[in-house]
Amino acid sequence: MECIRVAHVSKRYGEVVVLDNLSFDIPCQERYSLLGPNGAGKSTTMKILAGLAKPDSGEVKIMGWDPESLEAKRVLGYLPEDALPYRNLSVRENLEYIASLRELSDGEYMVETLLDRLGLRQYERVQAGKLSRGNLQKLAIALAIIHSPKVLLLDEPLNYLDIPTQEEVISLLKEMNSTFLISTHIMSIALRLTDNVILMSHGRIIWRGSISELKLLGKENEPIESVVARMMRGAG
Amino acid sequence: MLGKLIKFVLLTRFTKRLLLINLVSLLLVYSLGGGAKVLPQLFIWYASIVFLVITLTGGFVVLKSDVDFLFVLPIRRSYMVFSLFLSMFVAYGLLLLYLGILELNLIPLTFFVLNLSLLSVLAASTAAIASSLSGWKRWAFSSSLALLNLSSLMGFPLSPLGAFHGLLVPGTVSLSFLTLVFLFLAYRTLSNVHLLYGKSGNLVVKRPVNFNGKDAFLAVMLRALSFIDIGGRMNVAGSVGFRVLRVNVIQALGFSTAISVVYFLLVKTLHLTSFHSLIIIYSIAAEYSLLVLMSQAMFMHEPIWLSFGVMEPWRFARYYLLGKATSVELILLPFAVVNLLNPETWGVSLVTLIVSPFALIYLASITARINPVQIRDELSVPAPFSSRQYFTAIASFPVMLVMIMGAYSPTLLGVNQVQVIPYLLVADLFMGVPFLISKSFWRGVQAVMIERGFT
Repeated sequence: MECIRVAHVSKRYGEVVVLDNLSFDIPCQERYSLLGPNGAGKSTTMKILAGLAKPDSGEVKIMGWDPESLEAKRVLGYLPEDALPYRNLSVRENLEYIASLRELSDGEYMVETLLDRLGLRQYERVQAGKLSRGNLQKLAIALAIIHSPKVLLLDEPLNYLDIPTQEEVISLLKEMNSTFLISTHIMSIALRLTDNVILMSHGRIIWRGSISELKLLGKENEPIESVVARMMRGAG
Repeated sequence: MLGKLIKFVLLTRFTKRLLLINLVSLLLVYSLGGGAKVLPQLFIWYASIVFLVITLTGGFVVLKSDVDFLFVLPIRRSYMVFSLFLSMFVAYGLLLLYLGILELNLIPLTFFVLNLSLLSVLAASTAAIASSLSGWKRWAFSSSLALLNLSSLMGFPLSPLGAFHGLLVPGTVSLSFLTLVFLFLAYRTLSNVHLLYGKSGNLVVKRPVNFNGKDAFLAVMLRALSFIDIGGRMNVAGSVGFRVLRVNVIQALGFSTAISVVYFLLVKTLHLTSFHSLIIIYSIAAEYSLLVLMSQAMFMHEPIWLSFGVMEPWRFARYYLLGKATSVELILLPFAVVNLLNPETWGVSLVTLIVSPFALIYLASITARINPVQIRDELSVPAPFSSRQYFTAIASFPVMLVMIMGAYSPTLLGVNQVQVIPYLLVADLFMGVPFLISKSFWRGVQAVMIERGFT
């Protein structure tokens, strides 16, 4: 069964074509990264999948539901790039508030677990707006996964995090039994967190396959970043 | 070096075009209101509030470009702070000039220029002194200065604002003396003055809200009833930014109760009932300003990837608007009560009780649809001025109209207050209810917000 389905999706902002007849499916419990240069349409794709933006044409489904539906919102976790939590709420208030909005039965347990796992306990009473960018990102990740989503969309999830926290987040995400779509510029993140790659450029898919297939496209000793860069230049 | 620095600092804050616009605006204000009968108390109140804000915020506001580029240059800090002191002097001078221009009808030009110049120096010095004070010392300094300023209303000859209440010579002498003392104290603290930029305020939430175990509706209501966000564009010494403050609702209620009691006593003791028309318009203007500030702030801090990501936009908006409307009703309740005690202002009371919550729903909804702005960093300007702001202002006129008509109609039309209530309820029905039930409106809001870069 496909947990994410994107069929012939197009999107324009004014005269600019952001997505051009984009189509892909992601089977449940598989982990994909969405790679592409700036302006490829990755973030717009994520927003459409999260139900925050509507495509001009085409069809999008999350586990068979319309992304704007309450059913899809229940199973979906979304972390945008440079995510901002509620700046005037403390770290704990943010977590408790979202747990309540989602009406989670294990809300209290999840709040305590995430405070500890992501090293946020010492900041629990600090207003989110006063946190450092790294701690803000940790809080945003906690808010995106507090309901143990079945489908997880992450846009540059490891931005601003120090190396030990990156490792903690990677281990936390690997423990989850979710379908992943991770948008990133950084190949090493794709390698650590996912098994498959969708390469995008100018709102279209230019390549799709597993990471091992991608590695095979390179010459001997050629870094994978160089392979991806070559493919993107070729598409440009 | 110092001369070049002063020129640079002043020109980065006050462009020639800005000064020209100010000059034209001041001439316009004076020519339109030059012959008007002015209440001398008004400027004293305005100036006292300005000084109160200066002492409570304390310090000099600086631009992001100052932090990024100017402060890293090898220039003595005292030169830097002195040039900032001059920029604050010009900024406060302009502000006081706007507030006091009509006082020219009451006092001679020489005294007006002298007193206003001294007050501007006093304001900049006060900002420098206040920045070195903390906790209760700052509150004591701030309250003493407020009392000294307001004492001119009682004819106290040593008040620095005495010249604006008939005590021309003693008031000017007192102001000169106080300015000299403050200037000396400011000079001593100048090298340690706090430069205000970036993250400020309390880091730790003192009274956290417990959301555990609440359902979605109760959680949103609890958030709305625990604190309010008051926000808006601010411009201090050329540093433009949006600020939103977390204000505890109970504290806001205490503050509004205190203000209401003072307002009621002033109206009674100063026998201002003969100015009831003026009182009504000022009350409505104050209430409207609060509603506008709250409506602007409502979505400024709203992370839509969370609120609209967790539930449908219309459902979240409905809960959120109802919560905010309830909290504004609670905060304004003391005004409604004291206005009920004065038969001349019963109309204002009706507006507060019946119109304000729905007016907030209307104002917040149209702001969210026409010109939504999200704050991503304190003191940054998230959006330049655009024609959309004027559309929002035009679209908010119906609220002002309903509020004015509701407040004046019992007095002007000589009708019973009860007869006005059905009309106000019908106005509520048109102003607020459509935004509480329309799904497509909030889908449109979400689309506009995403287009404008909300996350």
